[in-house]
Amino acid sequence: MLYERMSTLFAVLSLCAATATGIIVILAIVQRLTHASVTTRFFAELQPVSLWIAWFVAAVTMSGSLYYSLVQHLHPCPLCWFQRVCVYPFAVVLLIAAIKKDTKIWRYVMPMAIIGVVVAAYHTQLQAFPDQNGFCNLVDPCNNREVWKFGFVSLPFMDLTALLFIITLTLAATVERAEPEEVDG
Amino acid sequence: MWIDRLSSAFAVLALVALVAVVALGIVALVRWRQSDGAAIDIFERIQPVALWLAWLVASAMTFGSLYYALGAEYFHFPRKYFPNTLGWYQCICVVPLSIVLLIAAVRKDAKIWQYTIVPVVVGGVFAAYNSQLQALTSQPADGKFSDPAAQRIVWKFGFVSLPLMAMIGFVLLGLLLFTAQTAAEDEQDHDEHDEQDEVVVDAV
Repeated sequence: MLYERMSTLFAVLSLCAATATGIIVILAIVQRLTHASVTTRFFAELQPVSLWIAWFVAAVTMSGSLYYSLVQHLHPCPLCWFQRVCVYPFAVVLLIAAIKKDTKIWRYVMPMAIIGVVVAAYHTQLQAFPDQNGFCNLVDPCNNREVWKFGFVSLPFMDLTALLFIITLTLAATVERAEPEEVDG
Repeated sequence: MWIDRLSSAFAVLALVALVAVVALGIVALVRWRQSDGAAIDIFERIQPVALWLAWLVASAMTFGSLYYALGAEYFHFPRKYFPNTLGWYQCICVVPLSIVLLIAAVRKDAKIWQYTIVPVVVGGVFAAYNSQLQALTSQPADGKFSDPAAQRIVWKFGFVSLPLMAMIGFVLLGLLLFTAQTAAEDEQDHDEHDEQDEVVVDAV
């Protein structure tokens, strides 16, 4: 039953990531519209740690997918492999960027992250509505729900939430530059 | 026979890359020992285009791996050419480089080696292990991912396998990134000006 427990844990983490992404995006919109002091302080506090959190999210995502393939011996389908291509490098790149405090890393992260989001979104809907012609259902069925928690959390859904959270945090790391501008204004 | 022909083309490209590895390696060594001469001229010609060449190598590798993964025989079963686990880990190390190195080449960002060195080395290690698995076929089966990875899916000229092509590619990528990085060292003042410009642009 370890499999089920770990899956529940990953599903809860995924929902936490989705919630945090939603909160940050809403606060960013509020900040853009009103320049409230609360949100300004929030983004100033978030900025120095956001790349570290993004790296942590990428590392957990990679560990999770390696747990399913190496420990539980699930066979990744082709779509899963493409999602791995789009998320594993971040576990290295974001660590180096966090150490270097390289806030411009979003330029390199964004293309892969967006491709990953597109693949993950397609795969999420494929597992949500499995009665369709899948991308790879000839050999390894991509619409096979290896994990299905709370009625909607699948493995590609976890990848999707992780990638959206990584994108949000990588962009939040760039906030610093805008700050002196506001002080001037 | 399309797959076989393209495999031959990829194998020839890998041998060209191997020649480039040897040539660039020799030139880099000579540059390290001497301060002027023909080798320096060649090296200085390569420096400004090293990132573009690295992107070209990464793109060719990405195209090759995606061709076997998607294009070659996708709707045939069993899919002989479909990547095995070790092959996929090599894909993970090279596919993102084909995008990242393009952005770095456009931005003339030679410091990109700090990020790309990790996938290049990890991919090279995976490729080296996989190459020897296919070259020395008498190794005992371990019942894990090594078994399918030991199959000689492509075997040209008596020694060129798919992981060997990947390994040559990773070594060439490492050398080209090193070349680009030395260019950045030579033009450090220029770089600092660039960075100042960028800060100004961002502030505006």
